[in-house]
Amino acid sequence: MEKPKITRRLLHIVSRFSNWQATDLETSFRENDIYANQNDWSKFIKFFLMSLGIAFLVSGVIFFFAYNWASLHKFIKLGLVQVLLIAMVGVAVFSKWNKNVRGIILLGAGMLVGALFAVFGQIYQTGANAYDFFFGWTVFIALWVFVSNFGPLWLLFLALINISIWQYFEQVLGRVDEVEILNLLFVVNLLYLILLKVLAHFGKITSTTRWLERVIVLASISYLTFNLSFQIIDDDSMSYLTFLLGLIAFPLGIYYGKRQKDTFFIATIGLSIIFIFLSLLIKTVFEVGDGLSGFFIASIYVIGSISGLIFSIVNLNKQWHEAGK
Amino acid sequence: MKQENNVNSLLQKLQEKHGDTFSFDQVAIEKEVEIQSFQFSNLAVKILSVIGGLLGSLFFLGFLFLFGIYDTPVVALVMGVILILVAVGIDRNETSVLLDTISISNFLIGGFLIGFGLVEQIGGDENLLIFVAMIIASVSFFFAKGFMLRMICVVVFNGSWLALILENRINSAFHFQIIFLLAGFVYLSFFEAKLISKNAFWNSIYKPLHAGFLVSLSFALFLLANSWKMEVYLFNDWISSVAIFLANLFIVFKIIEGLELSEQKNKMWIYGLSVLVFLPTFLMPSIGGAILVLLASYHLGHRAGTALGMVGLVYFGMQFYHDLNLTLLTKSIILMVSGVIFLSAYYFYNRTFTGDLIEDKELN
Repeated sequence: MEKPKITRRLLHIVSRFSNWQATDLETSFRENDIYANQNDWSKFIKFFLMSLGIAFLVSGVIFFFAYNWASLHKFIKLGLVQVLLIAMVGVAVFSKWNKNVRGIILLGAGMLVGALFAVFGQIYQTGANAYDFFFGWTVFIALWVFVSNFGPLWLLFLALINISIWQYFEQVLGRVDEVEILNLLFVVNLLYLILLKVLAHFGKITSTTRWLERVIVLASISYLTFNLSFQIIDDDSMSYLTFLLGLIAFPLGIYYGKRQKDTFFIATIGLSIIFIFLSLLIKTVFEVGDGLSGFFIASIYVIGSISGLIFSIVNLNKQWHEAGK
Repeated sequence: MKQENNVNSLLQKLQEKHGDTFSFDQVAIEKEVEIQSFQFSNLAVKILSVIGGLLGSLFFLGFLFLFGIYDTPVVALVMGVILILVAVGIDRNETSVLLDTISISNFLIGGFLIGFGLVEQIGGDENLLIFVAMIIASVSFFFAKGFMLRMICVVVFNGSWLALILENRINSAFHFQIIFLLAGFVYLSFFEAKLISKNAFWNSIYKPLHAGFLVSLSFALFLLANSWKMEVYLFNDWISSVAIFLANLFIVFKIIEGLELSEQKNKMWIYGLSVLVFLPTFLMPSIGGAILVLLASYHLGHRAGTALGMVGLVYFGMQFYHDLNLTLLTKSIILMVSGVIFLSAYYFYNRTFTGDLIEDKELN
């Protein structure tokens, strides 16, 4: 039989209906690892010191080159970044520190690659535009991202891909078609998540952490929601592709959330659908009526639909709970 | 059943430990466990209910004003009172999580209508309005039962104090509010067991009170960092700086006490390092505040608070260096030197305490 799980909630309830003494209750909070123990604090201190150290050092280096010290010879400038870069990668590869710490160092090195490109552009006035800069940065850290398999690096990589796509449209194609860009960004972000899942499934990387998965899902859904709402309000820019993407992605997302028993998917997708219909409602009701009925219907719609969503989340959770008994 | 097993094993353990001196009401405990599992709520559900409550009440207020409620302030006043009563009434229901959105929006619309009615009907000034808001928040807090509405009452109550300070142009008093919020938050974070075992009332208000203070304190820290930009001129920032510094030291003391570290030498090291980390926050007290939120929430195992503390630390830190009136070169040197100090601290920490090189899988 599995070890009984003592949660904060349970301790609160038992304390309410018993004469449990405070000091003993406090011990129970500690014994059941609800409060951070010595080991947790040790991890915390390490993580705290290392993250702050790398963050300060790397931003210091970036500020240093942003200052563009004219009297400093270009070889010294480039040399400085490169030496630091090699040192950091060396530590990340050869030290025996734990994986998270080495990951943080590699993340710092990943940021420095950007600084190196910037310094290079600054010295030689390469005339490269922002797209080349971000694309180069993305390509040159790709290998580290795959090898290190560190959450924050995966996120930096995705952020760079997003920026590169945006810059490509703006500077290379020379046109900014929001609908098209948002469609593409949605697809790319979603595929990225699927790729991570597939890699994890085949044991190529350890499973992605929840927070990374959630950030990507949140970004993708925001792109789609904004895109659809924008198109509904401004019907000159209709794109059936966006609607098709929504029709495919939303049911799949809900299906996945149900399979994983994760209410996060239900909540975000539900809220997204509510917002999309809200823009439809605002457009139709406010165009036809005098606003009075519009405000009334919108308020009832928002309160009703979100209550309904909460109701279904609570219900789903109850079902999963009962099935797990 | 898993949950009943958990309850039974805990009760059994307590009975073995304390014998007959430990008395409990098993039926009530099991019933409450059942109710709370039905009232399932997580961060997503809470955020949903706030979004729904805010957006819904905004639209509804738009409707009321187009409808012409501004012509009849008495009606607004009466309606406001009714809506608040309805909100609290709904919240006393056991299934309140499902109806949170409705009760939050009713509460907000009601509060707004009462305020509007008072100003239009009896020409009440701002101070009167603020007092009324405080009274509504306090009374509703006592009568409501749900987490969300109670938390909102705490935030409204603390917000009213802030409004009172700003309205009467006694801006420096804001630092005393920071002290109040700090004291409340720290007390709630480190005396949980004492508070929840006091009586049933304290037990039921603990969580919303804690969350309410967390939100209020975070907002106060944000204001402290951005006061000049928001044209709220605060003076005597040193009061907040000292308070936050002392609160941070107190937290470190409580954490060390709880961990029961045996070696005096280690304790001294920790205090010394803490003072070293906290001292520079005198330059920007919000950073110290963010560290405080982070430490207290990590101790409690409170994830939302830990995340809030981290975000605050990054945000205030970036703001500090951005606003610093120095050349980029000086800034970069300060940053690099600090970076090297932190990294050396890491190195020494790792060398001194190597007993716990455990692979943690939180981030990969």
